[in-house]
Amino acid sequence: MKGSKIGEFEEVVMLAVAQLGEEAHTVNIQETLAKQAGRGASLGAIYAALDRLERKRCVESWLLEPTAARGGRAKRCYSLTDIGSLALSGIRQVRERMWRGVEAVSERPGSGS
Amino acid sequence: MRRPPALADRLLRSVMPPARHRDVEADLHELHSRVLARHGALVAAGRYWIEVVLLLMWRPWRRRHGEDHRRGSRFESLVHDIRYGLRGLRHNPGYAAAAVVTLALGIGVNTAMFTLVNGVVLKGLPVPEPDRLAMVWEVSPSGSRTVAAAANYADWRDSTEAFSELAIVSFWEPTLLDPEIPVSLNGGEVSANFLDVMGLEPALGRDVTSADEQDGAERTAWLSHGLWQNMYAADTNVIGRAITLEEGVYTVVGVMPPELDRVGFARRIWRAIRLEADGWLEYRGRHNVLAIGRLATGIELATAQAELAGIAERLEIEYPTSNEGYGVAVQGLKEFVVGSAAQPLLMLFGAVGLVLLIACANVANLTLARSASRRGELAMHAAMGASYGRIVRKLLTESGLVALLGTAVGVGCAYAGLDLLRGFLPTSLPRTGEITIDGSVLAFACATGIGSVLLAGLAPTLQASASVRIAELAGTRTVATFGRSGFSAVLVATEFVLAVVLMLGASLFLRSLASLSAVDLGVRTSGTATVTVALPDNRFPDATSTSTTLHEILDRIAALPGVEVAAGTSHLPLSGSTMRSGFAIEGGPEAGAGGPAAHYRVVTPSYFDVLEIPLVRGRGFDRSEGRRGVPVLVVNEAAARRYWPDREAVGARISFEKDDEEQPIWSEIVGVVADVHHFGPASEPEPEMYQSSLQANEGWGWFGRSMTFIARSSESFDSLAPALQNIVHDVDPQLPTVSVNTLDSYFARTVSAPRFNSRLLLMFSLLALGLSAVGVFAVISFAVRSRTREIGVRKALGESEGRIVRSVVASGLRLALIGGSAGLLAGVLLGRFVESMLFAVSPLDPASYAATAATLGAVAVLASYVPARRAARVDPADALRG
Repeated sequence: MKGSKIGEFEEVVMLAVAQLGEEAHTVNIQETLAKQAGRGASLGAIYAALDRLERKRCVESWLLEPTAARGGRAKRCYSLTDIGSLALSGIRQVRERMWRGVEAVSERPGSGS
Repeated sequence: MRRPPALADRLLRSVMPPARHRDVEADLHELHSRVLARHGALVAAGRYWIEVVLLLMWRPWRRRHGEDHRRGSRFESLVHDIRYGLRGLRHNPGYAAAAVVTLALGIGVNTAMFTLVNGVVLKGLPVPEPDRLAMVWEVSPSGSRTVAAAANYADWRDSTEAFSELAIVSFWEPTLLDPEIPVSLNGGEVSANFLDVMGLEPALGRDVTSADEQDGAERTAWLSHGLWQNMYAADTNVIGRAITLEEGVYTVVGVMPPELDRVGFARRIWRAIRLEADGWLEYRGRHNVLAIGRLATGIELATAQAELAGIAERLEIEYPTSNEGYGVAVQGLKEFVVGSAAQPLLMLFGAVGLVLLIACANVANLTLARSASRRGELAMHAAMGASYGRIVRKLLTESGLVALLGTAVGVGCAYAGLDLLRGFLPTSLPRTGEITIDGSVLAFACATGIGSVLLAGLAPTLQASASVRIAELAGTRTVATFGRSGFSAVLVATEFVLAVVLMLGASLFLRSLASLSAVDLGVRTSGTATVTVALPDNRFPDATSTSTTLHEILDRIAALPGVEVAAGTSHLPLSGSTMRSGFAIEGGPEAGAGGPAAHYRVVTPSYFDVLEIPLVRGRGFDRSEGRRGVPVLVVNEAAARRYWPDREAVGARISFEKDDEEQPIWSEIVGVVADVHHFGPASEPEPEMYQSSLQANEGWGWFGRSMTFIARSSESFDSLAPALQNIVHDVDPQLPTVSVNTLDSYFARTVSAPRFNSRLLLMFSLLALGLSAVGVFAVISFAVRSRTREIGVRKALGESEGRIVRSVVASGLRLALIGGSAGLLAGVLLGRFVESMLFAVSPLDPASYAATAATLGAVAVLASYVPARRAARVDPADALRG
């Protein structure tokens, strides 16, 4: 079914969520993406990616109690589900395998320029 | 500025579902406070807005909350509809391209035509309060408008209260001697208050004053803005410079405002008119000034007309010999400038309106075909809770996008096509300089675009959503299949109605043009070159010097290698110039108002030979007739018919001039020649009298000592033209440069307006016909597709291919028959509007009707034949299986 695979943007969003742990709410995710992945993403784009990931059951969200720092408003936080963690490590394994293949080729004599 | 922008918050709140809005706003506010701390209020506010706009575009809450279409705000649904429409067009590029191109054609031709109408007819004149400016004409006893007599003008000026001021303009043709080869200028003479009346100021220097009008005042001249720029390089030091005209040295004291060229007074040099000093006021029969006035505040044209008519009646009583039967006519300046150009332009504008309607009908049809194939999609919308109104908006937005693209492409086409259009504007069209794409043209294009959304989008939308409505009323959420073919058929039949009206118009105008071109002008125009020479009064004061010089030029032209025959005339046929003179018939009516009159021409003896005007009775001119011999005349058949209906004109004597003792000089008519259409093919020949150039005395002075030479030559025009110019220069180096033309080019000018009208109308009707053919093709193709199974069954049952083709073509022809008959009927009703623009063709011309009907039938057959062939090739097995 179309949409069941994890896209590249979704992957970095999931990595940000994993990294941020309990602090994984949208504004922090946006900041992490900007700092570590070097990509500016709008809140709208991040909401959309998180929505897709929720539908794919890769992340889940809950509302934190309102705090004074947020003007008494609730904060939606995200965390990876088991499916999400599995998907991320699956992606990592595929990548590592592929990279090993690339390195093996470049180490062979005569393949470099 | 420390707080997040409230407007952005409100916008977001109005669009987002409340459940989702709370935490999104919390995120936004947190982001704002962080950016504020790091980068300051301005960056924070900018970032906030960017985030909100991107959120509005992404709308990530859609899927999560199963958004209810009815609850979204207007803005949100508009954004949604636009995205939906764009996606729809992208997925259906065939439909999108066809609809956009069709609308672009319709809107493009309409915009181009509006640009023309706007420039020539609608745009205001570039003078203050142009509606208060009016021309004052005299109306001769025969009912025709003529320029005013200066003495009458002086009386109007002194008595009028309706006009705050009245001014006059007369024409003046000086030759500027300063350049190496003298230049002939078309100039004007004006009364001192002329610029005041126009509400304009000189571009440079001073205005004309009453001191300039006095006898003995220094000779002063004003350059036109164009002459100042072209010949004097816009040099401001030109003021005070002396220029030499053939009548003496003038001092340049001003430059006229450029607006004068745009209000019908495009003369190149000006001077003050000297009414009293030059004796203009002495003779009331001399009609040679254009009177123009500014109406007093609050006065209507009709009031001014009534007042001046009263003054004219008084003058009739005071001066019966000159003024009997003369009235006045007041005409708005705009009407004077635009003249008769408005009617054909408006007719053509109406024609392109029909093309747009056809284009809209076609797009409506395309949209219908498309919505038939989208019924599943619409049913889905309805099932998910979209209301009737919501679906209408969605579909209309899509049509709006098509119209927007069509308008943009159309305006682009109009812009590109304008130069093409300029290339074949009729030479007689006024105000061509005003034809530009400006704000009002763009506003028109936008209005046309909006109009086409309503025309092309509304019907199919209502049709498509009607079934949703029915479902809604019935309380169900299922959508019935959409009926389409009946409505489409009505649209195509309507297209045929409009196309037939246009085609009828085009064939009537083409027939009219053909009749104009087929008129025997009475002169041979081919293979002739013409050159006009005017001798200045001061160096050629008498008949002898004038005649000698002009005949010397003629003799040299006749001696050029290749020239078969050459002649000269004071007024060249088709050139538009003429001079009418009253005369007395011996033993018959006296000269005077309402008395005998004819167009007077001075011609050299071989004139009738060079133009091949046949001699009907009597003889032509003899080279031995000198100025001292018995004066003789030749008249045309129209004069002979009118003034000597019961007896022979040859031998009769008439007088149109008097000797020094005020005794009539009698001239004998020695011959009658065939009629010539002097004013072009559209006007009937009028009485003419010809005098031999060898006998002309006073005559030379009457028409400015000018003569047009006509040479018929075996040489090419290109080699003949410089030779003619050289001859004029050799005979008198002080004569201005002359332009050489062909008589054919004069003829082309007389038919340039009808040619323009019929060409454009033909183009529009071909466009209309093409669009209608596409419409029929689409409808029949659709019908064939939806009847594939039925056709398969018929074939399986043994029906022949020929029969199937015939039945499909017949369905196309049926549409053509219905639309065509209605169109022909509409043509009969509309015919009277174009009657005055047609020549020798009745608006009910049977040939035009027959040609239109035949073309329509042929197009309908062709457009239905292709889908018919496809129907005939249907494989019964496939059709039944499918």
